[in-house]
Amino acid sequence: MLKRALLTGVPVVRSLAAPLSTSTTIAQQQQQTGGEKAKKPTIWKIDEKKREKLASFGRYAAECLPKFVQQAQFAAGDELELLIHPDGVIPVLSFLRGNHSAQFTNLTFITCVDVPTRKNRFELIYAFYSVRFNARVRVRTYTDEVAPIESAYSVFTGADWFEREIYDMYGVWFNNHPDLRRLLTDYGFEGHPFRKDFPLTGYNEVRYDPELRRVVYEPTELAQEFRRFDLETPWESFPSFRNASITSGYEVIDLKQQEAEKKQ
Amino acid sequence: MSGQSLVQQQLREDWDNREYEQVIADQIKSIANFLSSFDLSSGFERRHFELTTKWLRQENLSKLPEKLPPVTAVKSTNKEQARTSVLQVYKEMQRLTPQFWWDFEMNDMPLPVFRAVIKQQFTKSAHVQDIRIIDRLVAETHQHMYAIRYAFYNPDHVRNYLFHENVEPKPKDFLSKFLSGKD
Repeated sequence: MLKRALLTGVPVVRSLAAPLSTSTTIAQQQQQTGGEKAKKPTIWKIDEKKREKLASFGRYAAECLPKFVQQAQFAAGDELELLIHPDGVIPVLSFLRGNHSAQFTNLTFITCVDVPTRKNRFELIYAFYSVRFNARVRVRTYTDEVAPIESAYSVFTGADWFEREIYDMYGVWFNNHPDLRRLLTDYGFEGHPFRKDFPLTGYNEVRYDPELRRVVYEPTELAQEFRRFDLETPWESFPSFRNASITSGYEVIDLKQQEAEKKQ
Repeated sequence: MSGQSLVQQQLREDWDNREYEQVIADQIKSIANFLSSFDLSSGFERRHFELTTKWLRQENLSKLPEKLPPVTAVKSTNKEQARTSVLQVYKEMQRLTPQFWWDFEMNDMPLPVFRAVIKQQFTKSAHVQDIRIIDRLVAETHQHMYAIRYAFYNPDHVRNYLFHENVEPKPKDFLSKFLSGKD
């Protein structure tokens, strides 16, 4: 098959996944509406064609990496998210970067969320941009205080400082990172400031000690009344979402759909 | 008849008294529980920060694995391997120590004393059993050595880290806590 393809110059099509290209769809839509200039929407308009393409790409990714991709979903209408197992960081990332129909070569950011009530309290989020197809995807995975995550440095060199920052702020350890040390805080710093259980006043204060003739860290001495913080707003922030679940904004993509179509 | 009612009255009063005592005792118990839990919650974390220096909050971490499900080890696959890696990093650290001692102006104490201080940093985590935590401690030690070699740390960092001379040890028993006037 491959040989024949090389001889005849016909590209080998390995999968039915549509290319991600979404750059022209909005322009086409505008052309279709004709000369009459459509009013500019004040809210984000979800491009259905783009959404469909992203969904089929999500299905394709899940099909290619069944061991790692646990779920594909849309957040906020049209933002594709792949939820993966923490073991699959390197394979998934190299798939996204290297696959010809993805080409997510641009690492936008890596960040972390701390949810202490979960069993795996840290959630890592990798965001990517494909310049070729003008598409974005987010990869989400999880870990706890002890379990290390494989560093993305080998796939995206730009992950270096993002991971240092996450290590500094949350204490997530990355294996095989070239230089995992604190980025934002001081070298003598104890604790990880962005953890939800990190105290607002801190435990240590810094001062110059004239006897020792150096800057020292000391436990904070505060009267109990100064430790009381009620930072919650007295008004309800989103009354219309009072009973909405926190995951209700996500639309899960049915991964079986494509297989069913194939069988027909 | 009157005698019987008197006895009944006495009995009832006695019973009421007992109930009252029971209620009082329960309340005292709950207050004591509350106080002890409050002491734990307020004092515990701070003591924690003092006791463990930066090589990680071992107590906290060594407690964690009991709750967590078994996960695949990433670097060391068994205990023996983890132990070997600890010994390796310890030797490497001790080889670095003379240069460390000189570069960071620790000359106010003899080198053997400084070596002992370094050794203490290792023996402090002797109780850690979880392989993943051992791996992490080893990796952090490598990171420390890197920072020492390239002088990312200042002598001040090192002294704060190793000695904590400015911090008075926390009172441990009730009386000394009471006398010091801190929680």
